[in-house]
Order: sequence, then structure tokens, then C-alpha cells
Amino acid sequence: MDVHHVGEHAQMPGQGLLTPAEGSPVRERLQQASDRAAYLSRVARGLSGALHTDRAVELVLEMLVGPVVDWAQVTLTDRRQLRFRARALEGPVATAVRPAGGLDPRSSLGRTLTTGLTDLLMVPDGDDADSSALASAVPAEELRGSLVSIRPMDMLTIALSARGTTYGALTIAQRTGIGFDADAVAFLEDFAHRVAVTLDTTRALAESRRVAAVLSRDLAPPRLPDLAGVELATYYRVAFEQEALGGDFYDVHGDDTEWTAVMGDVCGKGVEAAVLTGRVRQAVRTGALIDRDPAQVLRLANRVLLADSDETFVTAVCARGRKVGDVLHLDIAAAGHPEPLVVRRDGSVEQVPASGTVLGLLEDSVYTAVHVELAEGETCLFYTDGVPEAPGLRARFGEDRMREVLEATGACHASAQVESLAVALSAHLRDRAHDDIAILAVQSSAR
Amino acid sequence: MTVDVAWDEEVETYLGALGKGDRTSALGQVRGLRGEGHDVLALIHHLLGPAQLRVGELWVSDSWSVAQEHAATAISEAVLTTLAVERELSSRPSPDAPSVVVSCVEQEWHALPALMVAEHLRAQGYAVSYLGANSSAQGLVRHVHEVGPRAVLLSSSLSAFLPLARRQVEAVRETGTPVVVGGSAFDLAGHRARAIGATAFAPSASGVAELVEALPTAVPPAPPLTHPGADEAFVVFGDREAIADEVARAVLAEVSPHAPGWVRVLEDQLPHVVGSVAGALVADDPSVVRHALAWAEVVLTNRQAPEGTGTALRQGLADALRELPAASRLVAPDAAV
Repeated sequence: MDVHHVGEHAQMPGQGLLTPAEGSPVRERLQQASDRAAYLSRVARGLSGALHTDRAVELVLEMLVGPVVDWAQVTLTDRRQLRFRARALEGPVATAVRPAGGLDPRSSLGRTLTTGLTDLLMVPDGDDADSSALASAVPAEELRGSLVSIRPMDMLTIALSARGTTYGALTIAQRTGIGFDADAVAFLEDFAHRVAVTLDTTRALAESRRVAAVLSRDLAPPRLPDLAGVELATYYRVAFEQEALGGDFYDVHGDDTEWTAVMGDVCGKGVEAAVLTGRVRQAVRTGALIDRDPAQVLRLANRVLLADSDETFVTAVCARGRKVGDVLHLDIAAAGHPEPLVVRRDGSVEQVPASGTVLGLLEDSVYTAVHVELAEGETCLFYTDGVPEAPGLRARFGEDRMREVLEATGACHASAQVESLAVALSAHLRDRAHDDIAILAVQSSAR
Repeated sequence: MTVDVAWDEEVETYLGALGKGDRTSALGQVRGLRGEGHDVLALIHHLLGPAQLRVGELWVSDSWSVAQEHAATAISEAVLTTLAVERELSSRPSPDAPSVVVSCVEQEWHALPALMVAEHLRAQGYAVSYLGANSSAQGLVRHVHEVGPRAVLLSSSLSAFLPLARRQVEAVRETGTPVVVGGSAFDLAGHRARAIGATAFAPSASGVAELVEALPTAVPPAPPLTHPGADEAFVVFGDREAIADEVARAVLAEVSPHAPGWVRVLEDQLPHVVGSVAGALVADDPSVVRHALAWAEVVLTNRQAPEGTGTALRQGLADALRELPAASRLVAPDAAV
């Protein structure tokens, strides 16, 4: 196999960062102080973008082992578990997990985790990997193998503390002779302190990410069902990439005999809008359980929205689908939403004249469904106004361009039709800011 | 137990289905081959990959419309996704499998190479997050923060997107994660990959697992680009639409658009040609522009563009970029072609 390695490996010149400088000429001591400061600033820069805990720990090990010490281990604990990651000069990063309860509080690691104080341990020559001295700092035996060649050695365990809690420890090993003088310990404690704050940030982030992921699970576009005789294809882009959620939504539910498809656009963008899409989708799901008639579904959704005190408007289009023989029958009702397009087998494109009042505006809005029949290979395309309104160099994308692209693509698989539209849209948009965009294609296919 | 297959014939049959936009037949054919014992990787290697190359050629030679090309590509992607889903249902990666993220560069629509890379890595036991075509740069970094992957693999087919590839390499390395790049936007010697700061270059999908194996566990942030012209790359890239527009007007003022079929192709392709200037600047490789110009001329000639279009295009480009010294050197009419 042809492997080309490019780019530079993390090689930081750090020789002499720990060498005792006491008694050396002033110039050398100054040089070491300046090297240490430069090293710490490189560490800070290197860690600044690492927001995933494991990744940040690996970066710490990478920057420490080799340039500064011979071996290092990071321990993180969450009261339930102790998680270890260790690295020697040679070989990959090794990991281990132990129950937190199993750690001896009087061991070197246990003392540091309980008191938050730095612990220095001397491991004599001839001491083997199973020795109690070594186990005191490295309780996971599978991580001790890489320490056999470093004897005799000094091991230093420094607490990782933030927000008033010691949540982990950094253990480093160095062959005796180089050792750790008071100056070196202070330098390493400074290093550990900086690392501790960064690692703690990644832990806090992971926790809030987990909460956000659980809460937003139902707000992201859903996985669509498999329906016999129907192909579905979608495209979805949000305006605020950083929030990954938007005010456009779609949903399809039901079974092979009868199902409901809905697409909508909540005024507003981002998370706030996404929360409202969740409410509308839920209302549609509930309404469709009682009566799949799209006019009735929209009426119910309208009343649900009006019952909420805050003034919010939602455009939506709702369709009921039933397969009758080879033909897909659609009843489509709309509430202030762009009219869906139908791509016929000969490649011609028709607009479905479905119209009605925006949801959440009037108490007594009534909706009427339009009937559309799709032969095998014909497609009904629902979209939000983010598609025609997409800004370009001179003009918006526009309904004419949509038709032109769909006509040029002609009758083919729904995913190809959606992709053609999405590619043309992306070429039109380039890097410009845009509104939320959603496309849902429903195609009649062989069973 | 596999059955010997005449792959050339299979590719022809498959292309026939793609040309008609017939996903059912395409999927049926591939499922049949699966049934005969050919695994997903073999199908990619012998059928989907070669067919996709042919699709590109058919478009360049004007035998297929751009719509047919899109439809064909979408079908192959759907077929591969279906295969991947079916495989995933039968064998999930082990819970402690190393994770990797596979993505296309932002605005890149050629998803097949990335899908193939994802398949190769899945076959080697990796837990693969596949972000697909046209994924956003922010979405990629967010995903990296969430997953903390062993590596990110970034695919780019069009050299016009090299500036975006550079931005994404920067963003990923910022997280300490190694980033492997690949795809036809890069040269096989890895010069462009090295120039934009990638950790490694994957010349093919098949060797990618070994490549990931050999990566460092963590990497420092990408050093800033220092080669001459690097700054101009982002000026040209940011302004590429307006520059392309100016060049299109210049070309159409020079040659009369009698048969207007090629005009839309010219307008569609010019942003890529201008983008290739940015690509050449960011990747420190003048050949990017030469290839893009030569390619554009073939495409236009095959669409009956009048004689002199190529010359007008070069002149228009040189005029539009005259205030940018490094870009001007790349497109000067007397530059080595």
C-alpha cells in the first residue's frame, strides 16, 4: 500500500525542561525559565480547541511524554469509575477502567485524589511490575508493562482540580538521576493546573452536550418510515449551523394502507423555532390518529397553536397518502405554505393549487384538500420558502429555476430529483447566509 | 462461495440502469451480486467505482446531461447506502471499536469516494460516522467534539474547494484530531495535501485503514500558511462568483453564443475554474489551474462552444485577476500551459 505521511508530528523541543538548574550559570537558568514559559504557552495553544475529554487527555500525553518526561498517566474519576490513559515513549496510548471503590485511599494515587496534594514516590531498581510500590501509583496492572524499562525511577502524582473538586490526577515517571527538584515540581504543578482547567471544561461540556442531545432528539428531522409502493427523499439545511436545529420541519407517519406527510415552517430560526416545530409535529401526529383528512389535521393544529398564548405563526402543508392499485392518491391541504410541485412521468412539472390561512392566526380557519394522483414514477415535492428565497449573486433562486431543474432532471428516482435540486441550490447559494431549507419528495413506486 | 463475474458486462448493465434513472434495476443487480457472495468492497471496487468514472466521462463528452449525471450519482449513493445499512444490521461494530469521522468538504457533492472510504473502514472494524456530502464545516467540528474520533477523513473531488478543505483541516486540527485528506482534488504525490496542512494523504480508499492505524494520536494546530500567494487564495475564493461573472461577460462579448447550450455550462463551470486559481494558491501548486483550464476547454468544446472560447476565457481570467499578483502569474497568457 502506498502511504504518504505529510504534516508534522507534535515535536516540541523541551530538552532540559526538568534538568535541575540550581548551581548552573544564570544564563542557563534564565534560558530554562524561558523554555518552560514557551512550552506552557504551546501547551495552552495546543489544548485550546480540544473540547472532547479523551482527545484532550491524549493531547496532554502527547505533549508531555518525550518532550518532558518518559511516561505519563492521566486518571479521571466520576465517583463511579476511575478511567486511566497512559503513554510511554514507545507504543500507543493504553487505557484502563476500574471501579472507583477499589482504590486504596492510602496509595499514592488515592492520597492525591483525596487530598489534592502532590505525591512523590520512589520506585527502586529490581522492583517488578507487580510490586506494591508501583501499584500505589498505577493501580491498573495492564498499564505497568510500559514502565518496566524505566528503573530506578521517581513517580510524581499531581492532582487535577477545578471548581473546588479533585476529579483526577496526572502521574508522571522519570528515570532517577534526572529526578524532580523543587523547581521542576513547581513547573509540573503549573502544567497540571493549566491542564486541569481545560480538562474540566471538556467534562462540563460533555455533560451539557448530553443533556442537549437528549432534549433535542425529537426536534431534529426524524427518520422516515418504509412505506410499500412509496419512495421518500429529503433535503434539510438549517440557517444557524451552530445550533443544528431550525424552524423548518417534516414528518411522515402511518402505515402502508394510509399515512400522513407534513412539512412546515415556523416563523423564527434556531432552537426557539425548533421547540415550536416539536409542538406542531406532535399536534399533527395526534390529529392524524383521529382523522387523517389533512384539512381536519390542519384545523386541529391551528387550534392547538391558538390555544398557546404566545403569538406564533406556522405555515404548513399536510398530505394523506393511499395506494390504490399502482396509483398513489394524495389529498393535500396547505396553510399559507408554498404550493407543492408534481413531476409527471414525461418530466413536466405542475403546481398543486393548495392554499389556506397560516396556522395560529385565526380561530375559525377552514382548510380544503386538493386531490392529486401519482402514477408509478411520478413525484410530489414539498418544500419550504427557503428554497425559492435562497439568495444568489443577483437574484433569489426562484420558482422558475426550481421548475427548470426538475424538468431537466425529469422522471427518475426521488432521491435523484431532490439531489439535483439541492446541488443547483447549493451552487446558487455558495457561501451566502440563508433561511432554513427543507425538501420532501413523495414518489409512487412499484410495491 | 463466489461466482466468477464478467465485471465489464456488469458495469455496462449497471450504467444502463443509471442512464435510465432506474434505481430498482440497479439495486436489484447489486443485490443479485451480493447473493452470489461478492462483498460490498468488491462491488465498490469492480462495479460502483468504475461505473462512476464512466458517468463522469459521459458527462464530459456531452453524451449525458448534467441531470442524468446527478440522477446516476444519486442512485449509486442510494444503492451503496442501502448496502451499508443492510450490512450494519447484520454486524454492528463492537462497542470499543475505534471511531472515525468521514465527511466531504463543505459544498462538495461528490459523495461516492467518501462513502467508499467509510465502507472500507467499517469492514476493518471501525465505528464510522459518515457525515455525507455538502456537510457544513461547523457540523463537522461539532461532531468531532461530540465523538472525539481517532481521525477525521475528508474527501474533496474538486480542486476549486481546496481553500475550504484548508479551512476544515485547520478546524479539525484545532481539536487535536489528525486529519486525512483524499479525493481527486489532490495530487497522488501528496504535495497539495501537505501544503494545506493535512496529517496524512490517502491516495486510494483501499489502503485507508492501515493509514489511520499509523496516525499520531494527537496533533498540534495547523501552522499558518506562509507560502507566497496563500493570502490571495482566500481573496479569490471569497470573490469567485463575481470574478466568474466578469469572465463570463468577457467571453460572451468576445465570441457570439450562436448555439447557447454551452453558455449555461460555461456559467456553471466558471466558478470552479476561478476556484481552481484559489485552489492552486492555497495548495501551492500551479498545475491545479492548468488542469482546470484544460478540462473546461474539453467540456466546452464537446458542447460546440465556438472556436476562440478557450483563448477568450484565459484572457478574461487574466483581466479579472490583474490586481492580484500571485493569481495573475498563474493565469498569465504566457504561463506554461
